[in-house]
Order: sequence, then structure tokens, then C-alpha cells
Amino acid sequence: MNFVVFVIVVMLVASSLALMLCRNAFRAVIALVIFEAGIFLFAIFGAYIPGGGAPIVGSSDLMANPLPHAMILTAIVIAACNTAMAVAMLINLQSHIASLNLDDLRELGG
Amino acid sequence: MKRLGVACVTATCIFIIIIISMQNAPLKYQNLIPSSSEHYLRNAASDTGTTNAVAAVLFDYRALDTIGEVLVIVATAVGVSLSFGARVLARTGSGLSPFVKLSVSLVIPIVFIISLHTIFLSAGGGFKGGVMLGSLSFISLVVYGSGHDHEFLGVNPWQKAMSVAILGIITLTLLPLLAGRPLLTNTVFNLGSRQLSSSTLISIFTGFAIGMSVAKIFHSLARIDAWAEGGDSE
Repeated sequence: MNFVVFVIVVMLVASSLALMLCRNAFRAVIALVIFEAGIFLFAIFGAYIPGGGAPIVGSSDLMANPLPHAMILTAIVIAACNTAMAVAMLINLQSHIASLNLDDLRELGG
Repeated sequence: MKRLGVACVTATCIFIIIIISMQNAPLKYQNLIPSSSEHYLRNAASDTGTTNAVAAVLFDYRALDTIGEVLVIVATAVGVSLSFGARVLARTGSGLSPFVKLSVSLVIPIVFIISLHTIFLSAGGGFKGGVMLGSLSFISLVVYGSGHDHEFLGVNPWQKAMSVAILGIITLTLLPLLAGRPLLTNTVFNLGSRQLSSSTLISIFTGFAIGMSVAKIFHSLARIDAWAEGGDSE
């Protein structure tokens, strides 16, 4: 169980890194989302306790750790904000220089 | 090929780090959880009055975190709408066919009720239910067209609703001071035979702030002003 989850996490993170090194900005944003998914899976798995139930007081003797759940709920919201902001930037980029290639950004001289 | 190599090397490094750290940790601590979490699990019912430990962490122990999160979303809505502020996009037409409008008008109340249900009953439900509320505005924008939304809601209703929701959150933040308790603790009001806890109210206001922010993000992509002035811009 542990091993399978870690393999999935490493595959998500590594594939997102490979995608992030492309020169296309839209692929970089997609890679960011996949990377975040891998991190969330890893952190949520930290809350798992073998045989533990849901973290509702009084439901069972052994309960899962509630703290990673709350933290990842926060992180998911922040990740959604990141994605919205990045996509807005991409739309502006496309309308200004008509290209999403990161090499073309040098024309802007920023 | 080069980036594939970089990714493979990074993956191997991460995997080795995870395996090394797991070999020390899980055998000894597999059935233990950290002491802070154990404190939350043990005292959540007596401290906060909620049995759901995740809700207790989100809306009582670490409620300041949650409020910061709401402000991040509002800041995103403002940022996205600012970055499109200088442009005028085409209005989204007069909507889809009448059959689609009829069936969506039957679906929208159901989704609204489900989103309210999520806000009230789920741990951290303000966020999920708020996104559902925001998606409702997106559905109506696509199906009925931006002109309908403009006639129905006015030019910019989102900012006022967002401000009201944030004012409500601030009020509920300060409310426990009246009861002589620290900021942001869960206070239970007795309304006759029913009880209303302040974390539920914070969740409702959070849901509305998030729904309005998401709606604002969607609507900043389809400018309503172009319709209001009667001009068809391309």
C-alpha cells in the first residue's frame, strides 16, 4: 500500500517536472497542477493510519489524523487561486505577443 | 531528451529520499499520530462543540488560517478582474437554444440547494459549496448569455456581495470577545429550541465570499459592460 502510493506520487511529480521544462507556458501551468496533485496525495497519505476511521469524535477508537486534511483543504484552495491567476496571465500573454512560447517573452524586455 | 533525463534523475532522488525516511519512521510510529493532532481529537468536542475534528481545526483551532484563505481567493478575484480590466471582450451572445435554457432552469435550483446543503453540513463546506455557487453563475452566463445576467443582476453585483460576506466574517471573528472568550472560538447561540454555532455562520459567509469571487472571475472573462453600452465589440 505504502509503496504503490509513493510510486504514484513520484510518477506524478516526475512527469510534471518533465512537462514543466517544455518551453510552452500552458504546459507549464498544467505541470503545476499535476505537481500539486502529487504533493496533495503525499500529504493526505500522511494522515492515513492502518485501521483508522474518519476523524469524527466518538465514531471509533482509532481515527485518522485530522490535521493534514485541514491543511490540504487550505492548500487545494490556494492551488486553485494560483491556477486561475496563471491562466489569466496566459490569456493576457496570448493577446499581447500572440505566442505562449517562453522564449518569445524576451521581446517584452522585462 | 535532456529534460526527460532531468525528470528521471529528480524522480529517483525524490524516491530515494522517501524510501530512506520511511524506513526509519513507520515501523516505530505507525499507529501513533502527532501530539497536536491527538489533542485536537481528544478535546475537539469539549473545546469547540463540534464532533468533526476537521471542522474543529478549520473553524476554531486554525480559523485565522481559514480567514487568510478567504482573503487569498478574494485577492485572486480582484487580480484576475484587474488584469482583464483594460480589455473589452465580446459578449457571449444571447445564449443557447430554448430547450437547453428550460432544462438548465430546472437544474439550477437543485444545484443551489445542494450547495447550501454542502455549506451547512460538510467540514470546510464553505469552500466546496462556494465553488458550486460560483459555478451556478458560470452556467447561467453560458446558457442564458451575458445580457440576461446583466438585466437580472445589474452591472456588478459581485463586489457588494463580497464586501458584505467579508464584513460578516469580521463581525463573527470579533463576536467571541463579547462572551469573554478568545478571538475566533466557536460560540453557540441559543435561539429558542435550536442552537446556532458561530462556526456555521462563518462557513456560510465563507461560502458566499468564495461563490462571489468565483463568479467575479468568470464574469471578468465575459465583459458585461460591452452589452450595457449596446455596442457589439469583436
